[in-house]
Amino acid sequence: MKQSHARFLIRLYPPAWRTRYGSEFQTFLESRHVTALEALNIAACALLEHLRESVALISVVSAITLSSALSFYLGFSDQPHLALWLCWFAIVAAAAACIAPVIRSSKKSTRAVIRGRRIWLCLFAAWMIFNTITALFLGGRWGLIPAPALLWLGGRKLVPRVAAAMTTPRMLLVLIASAMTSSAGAGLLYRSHQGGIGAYLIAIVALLATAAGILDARKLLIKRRTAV
Amino acid sequence: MARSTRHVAQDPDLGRFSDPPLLVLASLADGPKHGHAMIDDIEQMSGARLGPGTLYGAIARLEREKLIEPLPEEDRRHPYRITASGARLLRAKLATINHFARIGLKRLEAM
Repeated sequence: MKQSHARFLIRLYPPAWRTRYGSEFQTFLESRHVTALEALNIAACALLEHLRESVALISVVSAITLSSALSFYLGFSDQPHLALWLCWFAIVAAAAACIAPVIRSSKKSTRAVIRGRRIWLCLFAAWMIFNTITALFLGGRWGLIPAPALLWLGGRKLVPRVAAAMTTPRMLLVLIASAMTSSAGAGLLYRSHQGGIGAYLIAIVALLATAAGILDARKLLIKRRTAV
Repeated sequence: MARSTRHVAQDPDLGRFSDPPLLVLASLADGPKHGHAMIDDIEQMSGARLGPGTLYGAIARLEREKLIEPLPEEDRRHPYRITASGARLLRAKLATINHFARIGLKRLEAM
């Protein structure tokens, strides 16, 4: 394979992966004839590496959208588009799967809060209560405002072991963008009542997030079981 | 049976028996190899031809789990060798497959 083609394919991988394996992978590719199918295999595996790095991120994004999902579900009693319903349930399932291992690992944090040492769990709980109340009585949209920042801070302080990889400043931006996009998307769908391709796209994204979240949660649970 | 299932569940998550990481481990069981040699060996051993991306994905995963380790570079290529924990895991997985195959064959014979 030509050097330039090999370089192009390697550039598809995440930087950390390239630093470790880039040079030897390039030698490997240059020394053989790479078919179109193999090039596709490399591109797909590069995408998987990106996803592997961001699976935790995706799962937290789906967890945070639990707020918007529940808010809109509780806030509007009309009949939204079928895809939106699908979206809600997918996000709720993902969020439940994501949150389970975090809750399992946060027993110590809970005890610390009871002793009055940690304020972050209180903030997190306050946000949950706030969100539920606004969802029940005001239509739900307000609950989204403090969600990303509080989840970021709460996650970072409460469960450092689990959330260390998930809570970076870059992630805060992603969470905000995600919450805004999901709420805007859901709002638009609610308004139009038509759905169409956009609705199904959002549903597909939610289902992918669900799968990623569940996989991530499973991985965390297995790791914890192994550690024990 | 229940015991072996639990044992597998506590190992690093390598997926199913036919998954590339297991094939790479089996290939490295008879000595260190670099990527090229692994692909050829796996094809000869199992009939499955791994794509380059799949192979390096498996290598990266196994190295992360400390089941294989790289040897010093030779001509810009890294040979890899199986670690003690990798060999242990491979043995456990193969024993499970063996157990499963024996029962399956016995049932077929009884048909």
